[in-house]
Amino acid sequence: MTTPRPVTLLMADDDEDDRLFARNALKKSRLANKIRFVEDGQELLDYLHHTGNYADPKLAPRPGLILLDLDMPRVDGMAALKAIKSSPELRSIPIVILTTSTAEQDIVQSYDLGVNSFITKPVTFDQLVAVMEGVTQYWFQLVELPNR
Amino acid sequence: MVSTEPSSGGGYRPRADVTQESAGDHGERFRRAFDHAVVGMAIAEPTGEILEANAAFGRLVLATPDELAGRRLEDLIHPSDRESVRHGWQQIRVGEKPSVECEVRCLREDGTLVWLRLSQAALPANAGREGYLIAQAQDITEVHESREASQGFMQELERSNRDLQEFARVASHDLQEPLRKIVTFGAMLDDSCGDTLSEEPRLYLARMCDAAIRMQHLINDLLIYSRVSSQPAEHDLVDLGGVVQDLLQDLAEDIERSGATVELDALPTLHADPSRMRQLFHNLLTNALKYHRPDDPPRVSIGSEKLEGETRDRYRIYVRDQGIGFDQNDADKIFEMFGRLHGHQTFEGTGLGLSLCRRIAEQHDGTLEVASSPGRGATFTLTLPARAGSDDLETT
Repeated sequence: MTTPRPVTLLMADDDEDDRLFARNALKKSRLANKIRFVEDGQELLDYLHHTGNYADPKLAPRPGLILLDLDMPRVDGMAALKAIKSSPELRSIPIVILTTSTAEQDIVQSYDLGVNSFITKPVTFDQLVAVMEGVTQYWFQLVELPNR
Repeated sequence: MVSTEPSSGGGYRPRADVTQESAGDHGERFRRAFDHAVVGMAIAEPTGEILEANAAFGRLVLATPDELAGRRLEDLIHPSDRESVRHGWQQIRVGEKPSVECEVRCLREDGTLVWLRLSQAALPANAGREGYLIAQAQDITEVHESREASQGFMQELERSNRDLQEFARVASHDLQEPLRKIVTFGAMLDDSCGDTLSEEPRLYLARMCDAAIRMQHLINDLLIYSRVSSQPAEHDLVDLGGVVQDLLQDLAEDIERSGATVELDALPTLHADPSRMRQLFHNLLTNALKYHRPDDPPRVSIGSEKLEGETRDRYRIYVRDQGIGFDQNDADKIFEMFGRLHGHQTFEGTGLGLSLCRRIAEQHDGTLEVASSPGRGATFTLTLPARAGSDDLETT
């Protein structure tokens, strides 16, 4: 087990309420991790590739984990997932899909594209807190990730 | 037209040339049959020119037999359908088929259309000349119209089924979304200032969240119901005993909390949709565990017996509880969609569970009934065929 380190989470979700829920759930779980937000798949790719509004790398530290919504404008979650997992630079970043979809085809396609976990957005706040705790503890404390 | 004189077509003598090949009574019998047939009949040259038509044929196309003589058969047919008539006759002429049937539209004198089932065949050739064409026609307009109507109805049904599935999809996502937010904002509100609220607003907040959660359950149950109704059933060998044991493990916490005792006798293995059987028994079990007096822990027993049948065997499976029971007169109500005998404050639930159970039983060519009286528990009796053929499993 590695020492817990405050790694940055990056959440891509076009829904303002869901971004607020995630921020509050993380706060309630008393985890030290920072969370940053982008609002669609295009902004996510700009963030990761340091392009567009994120040309300055200082504005966009490499995230330790990406929480990805599927249904987003411009570039949707599935397309963003495909782009990230086919980039040699980015594909080691764990991606957790956090979506309202429970469709079997979304689940199958996500794993085919190399997603690390697929989670349906919990229906209560307590469950969301549990998800945030579980996901961050698993990816930042339990498993070993490449250092880059 | 019984005349033996040449008809207006000229040169053609039916008795001599066509209908009296073997002379005597035979020709006369054919003539009578031809004239009085209910089916429209016409005899034509190999080129399609009508030599003679009977009265029934005349009635079909709104012309007298005399008016038809000399006209070409295919001219009576709707232009778009003429090719199939020509093609059929060609097949007969080259000896490919002895007779050909087709469904064509007939363009009548008054401009109206009738659908005809038209059969063409050749009369035997003789004396070095090609055989005549004999055509028989029946009005099948009504058949066509009802066929078209039922096709339209089927299309309409498919469309409405698609609409229903689309509705289910919208319900699953778009209706759930705002609810999820109400529930979450409610919890966050309670988290951030629940302690500072006085008793009354706290109660309002709790009631609001309860109501929203109830609606989530309702939407989920509706979705399960619509999925079971619209998706095709799967079939496999299902060990019902194993299904119930799994379910009891899932429900272990509830069972422990309520101090319930569950007695499980042998259950059969039969052909059914595995996930629907699980759903059915889940609902029956939670139902049996739910309706008890607070001071009287639930006692549930489950068992089965085989019923030997003439054509096939069936199983009768019972789920019996010693709970609060109900008036037998209300038995139908509990199987209705949203049918409930108690307020949700007394016993939670959406009123969809048992109607779903009955729906699943019926999809398996089975039945689900209940017997009860107030204070004396309820016995649900499920009857399922030992071996439902795939035809018995409704797929829509």
